[in-house]
Amino acid sequence: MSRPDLLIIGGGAAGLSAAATARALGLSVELIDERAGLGGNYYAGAGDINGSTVGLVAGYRRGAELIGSASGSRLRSGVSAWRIEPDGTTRFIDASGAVSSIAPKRLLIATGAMERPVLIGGATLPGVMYAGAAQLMLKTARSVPAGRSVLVGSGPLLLLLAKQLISFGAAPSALVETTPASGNPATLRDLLSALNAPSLIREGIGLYAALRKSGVAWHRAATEVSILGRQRAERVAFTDGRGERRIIDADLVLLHDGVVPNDHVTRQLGCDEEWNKGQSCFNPLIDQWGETSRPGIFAAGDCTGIWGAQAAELSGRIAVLAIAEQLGVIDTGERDRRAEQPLRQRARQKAFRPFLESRFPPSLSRAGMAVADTVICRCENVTAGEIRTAVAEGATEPNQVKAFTRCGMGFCQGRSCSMALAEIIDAETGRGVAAIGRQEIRAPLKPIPLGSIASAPAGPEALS
Amino acid sequence: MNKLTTSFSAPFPLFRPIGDEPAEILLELDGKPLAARATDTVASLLLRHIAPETYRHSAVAGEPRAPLCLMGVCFECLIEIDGQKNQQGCLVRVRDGMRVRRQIREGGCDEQA
Amino acid sequence: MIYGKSTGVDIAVIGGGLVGAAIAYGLLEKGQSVAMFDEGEAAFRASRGNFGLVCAGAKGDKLEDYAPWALQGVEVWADFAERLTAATAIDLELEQNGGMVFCPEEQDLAARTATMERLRRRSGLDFDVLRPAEIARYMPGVSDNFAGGIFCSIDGAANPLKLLRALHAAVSRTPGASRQDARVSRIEPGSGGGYRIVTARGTTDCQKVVLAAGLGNLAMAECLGVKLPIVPMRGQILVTERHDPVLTVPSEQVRQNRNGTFLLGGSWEDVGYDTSTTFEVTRDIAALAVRYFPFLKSVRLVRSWSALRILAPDNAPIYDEIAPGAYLVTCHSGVSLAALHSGKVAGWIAEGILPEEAAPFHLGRFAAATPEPEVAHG
Repeated sequence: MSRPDLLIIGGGAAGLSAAATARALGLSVELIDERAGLGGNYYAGAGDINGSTVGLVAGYRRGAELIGSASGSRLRSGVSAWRIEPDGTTRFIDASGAVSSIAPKRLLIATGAMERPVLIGGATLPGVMYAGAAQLMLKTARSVPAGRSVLVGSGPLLLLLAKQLISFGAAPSALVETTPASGNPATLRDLLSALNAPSLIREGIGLYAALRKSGVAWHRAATEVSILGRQRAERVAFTDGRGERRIIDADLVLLHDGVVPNDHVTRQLGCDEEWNKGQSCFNPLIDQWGETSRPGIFAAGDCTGIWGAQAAELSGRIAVLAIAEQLGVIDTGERDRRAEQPLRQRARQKAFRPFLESRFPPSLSRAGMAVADTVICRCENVTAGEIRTAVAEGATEPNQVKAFTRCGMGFCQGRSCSMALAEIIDAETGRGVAAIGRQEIRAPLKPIPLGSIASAPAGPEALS
Repeated sequence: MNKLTTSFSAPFPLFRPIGDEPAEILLELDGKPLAARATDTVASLLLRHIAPETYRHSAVAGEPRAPLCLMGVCFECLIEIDGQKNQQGCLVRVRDGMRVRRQIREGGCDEQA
Repeated sequence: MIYGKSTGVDIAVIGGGLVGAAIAYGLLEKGQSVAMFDEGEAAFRASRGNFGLVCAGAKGDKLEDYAPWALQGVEVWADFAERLTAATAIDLELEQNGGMVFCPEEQDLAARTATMERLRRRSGLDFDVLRPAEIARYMPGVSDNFAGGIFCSIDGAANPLKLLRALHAAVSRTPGASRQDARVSRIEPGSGGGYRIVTARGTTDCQKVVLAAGLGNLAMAECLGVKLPIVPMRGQILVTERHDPVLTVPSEQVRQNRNGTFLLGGSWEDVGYDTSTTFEVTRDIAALAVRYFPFLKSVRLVRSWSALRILAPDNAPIYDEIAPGAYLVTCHSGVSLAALHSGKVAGWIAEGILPEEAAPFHLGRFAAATPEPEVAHG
């Protein structure tokens, strides 16, 4: 039986820094991550580091350092958690199809962020991807778009990706920003708050300057975006900021509308959550240490709200200090002393976010007014029109709509459609997405073969 | 099914490689050999080698779908690996001798792409 | 209010699940004005966790009168499905290619056979006792790693979610219907006779009231001074990814939906109102399914859930008038009995007369029996 002090789910910035901190405190630690390599999104590919790629992408070296300092722990990638009990017992499946389990004394969930799902006409066509996917192709597979790529949407990552593609000789053929021209001006308070993180401001200004200089066609304040094509994406149609309808050719369309917490694990566990108005997403309710409403189950990093990789690293450290204190490894005074600096640093990192949130509100992903034939549930091909019909027949709760239309019943279990579904129900009923909520998440978190479950051992046991 | 193999050399994959990393891993795609980089996942490899509309067909409506997020969330990169269907190609690292098969409906794939 | 006006109606139906919606639809068809109350997401929603068997073969072992009633329910299902589909354009995916009851060991097969013979004398229900090799004719891919099974050719399955949706759609489109999503807090005597239904959002006056709220009926009946001997019995269900069509005959352990997914079930757990799923039962259900159908080993589990069956001590339905104009309808077989609920039972309520046929299902049958069962309150 494997009963480590700490099990960490997710090997990104928060998970790796938590593992390193826990090892330094002498805790026994296991870390599992479903991806092929460690590093999460921000430090993706850092685990594959070799001489020729060091410095390929900013932050790489820090990612490799983090992996190195966490390496006293048992780190495993390619391992998917599929069922987690309220006491933290975690069942997972490895690449060989074997199911086993870990019963840790404390569980830390660090599953990071995911792209805010964008559901517009044509978004299911091959050749439409998220901007984050193109970044992962660059970081992990050293690959860039081969043809005409068009970047569409809003947010710093979209601009950063444009700059990265330019510097690797794969300049996009156009950048279509859907950020409203004057929709949500940053408040003075947000701006002043942002001054706490001057390096981030410098980075942003540099980004705009580089893009302007590059000469990439840059359309601002675009609305009414859809993607056209028969078997694959061929064109992007939109109305530009001057009200002109435009259609531009594209081989690859890269969408982005910000990121949201990848919170399936905390949802399967039934952790309490709250609606984060500023970030337009739900996030699990946690205390300053990261403990969720389930005692002994912690969460850190962007799966608790979007605060960025630096804040995630700090949150991983902070959570482990509280865990070590709960396990009696350090006393309360020691915990508070050690946490003082990272708590302060994290507050500074977080101070920058309200500015970004008001500057880049969700635009492309707003599904309340989606046209009837827009696919909302990718897995089960459920359209906005079908959902509205079900609502009109009396299904005004997400789970009831799911039962009636199969929206969210497919492989992804609502990862792509749940917010869009809430927005459509809101548009029909006016109840507000915070009150409407999302479909339930049920085990397994990832599909697993019946044969693997049927032959699973009964109790927790060591990873083989 | 066999028809598909001709699209290996189709001119429109979405991505191209940079750098000088060698392709040292040898696997099978739909029964034909294909070389991959050690850092590839099944999805990243295919995004450089096949036209995206030949990646898979949806089991629900039959239309073509291709990888979307590459971070394990969207389940658009479903593919058969070593006989096991519906695996997330973006999460599985390539291995020597791996047998990858696209989930394409009989006669359903548009070859012109 | 979701739709309609419900200031004063003929009949209030408390419960928007398979039982409540079937009765509401039946009452509307008979020209009654109906207010249907649905508790919303707080409810246990047994209807959403249903396995979808349309089945007479396994019913009546503790109350023989249930056997002919269940058989009648299965016999009228196809007509009912046709009418509902005509009204809503929703295909209920009904298939009556027979149903199988698996018996893992010889003694299970012998005991089951004896029960079926006893029930056949009461209801005339036809069945065959089959060995694995014979079962393979109906269920390709079945193993020989079990004793045998009972096959009832009249049984089958429908899609319970399509049925629920079709009933809701039919109710919403019929004149005289209203619908509120609100928990009923009280049923009070009405000022001019009849009843007043009280929710947090207001009151509705009605001539008659139908208690069709599943486990919620415990609290509703208590408003009328009646204690019900019903208890929750948990069942966990697994659903897989799509697979090529293989199985056209369902069983309680494994059945394949029209869309290709497999439903796996068959757990009976006395755990009160706990609606969580467990690893152990998930594993046991998967292991049993793989034992009967080895090809399922490579098929992926996509989701699991649990639901609470609503069980009377004899597993049979209860139909009764528990106060003047207040009708109780409670059962665990919302799919198998849907056609009867929408037809005959709605007719009884509309006319206000429970006929002789309903007598075996009165609440009074439990009073004479052994000490009152313990009833949990939710």
